[in-house]
Amino acid sequence: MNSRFPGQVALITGDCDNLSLTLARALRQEDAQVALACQGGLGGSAIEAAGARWYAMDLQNGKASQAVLRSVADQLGRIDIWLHYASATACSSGTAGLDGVHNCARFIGEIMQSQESGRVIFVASVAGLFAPAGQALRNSQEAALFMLTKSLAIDWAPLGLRVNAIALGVVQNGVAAPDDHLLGRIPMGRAARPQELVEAALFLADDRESSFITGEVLRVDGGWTAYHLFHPFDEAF
Amino acid sequence: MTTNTNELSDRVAIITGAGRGIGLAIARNFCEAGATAVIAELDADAGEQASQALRDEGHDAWSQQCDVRSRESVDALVEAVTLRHGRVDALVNNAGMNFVSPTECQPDSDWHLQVDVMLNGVFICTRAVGTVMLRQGSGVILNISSIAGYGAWPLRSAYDAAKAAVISLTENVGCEWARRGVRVVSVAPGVTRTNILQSLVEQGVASLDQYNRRTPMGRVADVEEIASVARFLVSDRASYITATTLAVDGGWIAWDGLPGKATV
Repeated sequence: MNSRFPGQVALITGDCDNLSLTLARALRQEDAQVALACQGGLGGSAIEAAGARWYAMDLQNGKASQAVLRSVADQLGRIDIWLHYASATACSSGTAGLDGVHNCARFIGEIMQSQESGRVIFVASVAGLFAPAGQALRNSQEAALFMLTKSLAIDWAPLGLRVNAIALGVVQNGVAAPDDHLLGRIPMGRAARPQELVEAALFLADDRESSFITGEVLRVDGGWTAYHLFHPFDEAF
Repeated sequence: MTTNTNELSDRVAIITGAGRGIGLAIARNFCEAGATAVIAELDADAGEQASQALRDEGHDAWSQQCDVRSRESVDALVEAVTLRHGRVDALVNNAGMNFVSPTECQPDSDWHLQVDVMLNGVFICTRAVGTVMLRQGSGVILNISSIAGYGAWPLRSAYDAAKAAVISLTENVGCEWARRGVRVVSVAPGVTRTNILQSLVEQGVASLDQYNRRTPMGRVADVEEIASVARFLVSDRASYITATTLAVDGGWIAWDGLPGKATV
């Protein structure tokens, strides 16, 4: 079995939590060089233990972010895969967070265009597709990431770049047990395992598997967004 | 790749309409991952030629003549597969056709044939194979829909309606069976290089240049690009994905179709 991304450089931005670390580890196992640019909630040593390089970056500080991204590109030579993952906490920053992602997109897009190849994956929440109550700003932010996915995909498709998103439902994050209230809403009746997010991300990053997919939102949600009726799910029957 | 190249070993997959085109590419891809492919094909000769070709390549494949519109025919297929293998792990509802005509001129027979094969046939196969899968407590049903199921493609009303219904059926049955170990998913291909496309081009009702221009990636899909996605979705790597459709369209449905200048 050969690895999937030998010689490639993967950049992960957004959150520093267990899931981003899991994604970093998985990309590393596929022989990508991995950079994790985030504010460092996990600490540099945990990131480096996963085989990734840590770059301290505040996504909302545009100029500083660009300087960090320049360092990544200079030190690692290229960026083949950009994976942006933001949890609910990061999304609470609203339009400032979106500006930060867009700012990164402009810079990383230029690098990928010069390479004539690159794959971008935004991991966002199903909250951008259906509106959970009481979190209007977050829902809007998630929806904006899906539209950014489509828009960048269209602009960059002629240049050989692919841009896709994952709409993630409830996932085990290794910190808190998923809320039973939420699990009862999910057709599959359980939260996603981190590996199930990882597999979807690697699939979208792999040109041998998803070469004709761009501008698409892959729902990794146990059926959440297909279901429209009652809560809990059992009441549908 | 680290993706297990034998990830479908010991799995039995039925692929309808797999005598050629996307269905055959999926059958080959599944076989390359270790699966046994059962080619269910209305055209018995095409089915046998396809399965012989796969066997010649060293794969495990066989074919059975099957009319997906007929409950008896589908039941006979499922019985033959379960007798031989004792199980069914994947069903790919792929059989299809595409007639082009103005709706006001469309004969009843054209409408009924397309809806019978591409919607009723999907239901008949899903019910028959799904019953086996529910008994096993495991299985994946993959429906081949189309980007035409997301919106209007004039002169193809029956095709569009059937494909839209399949997207809905995927969500419905996917939810119904979500807690019983059976996933139901769909792939919506964009324009793909198949003999159906070739035939439409030869009839003068389709233009490759036009499709290339309309697709953000600037080209149509090869059948292998649909097959690789099919394999991911039926594999255990997609174990949290159900009741959803994935477009494999080079960006077609994400774009409004108006030319513009990239300004990011």
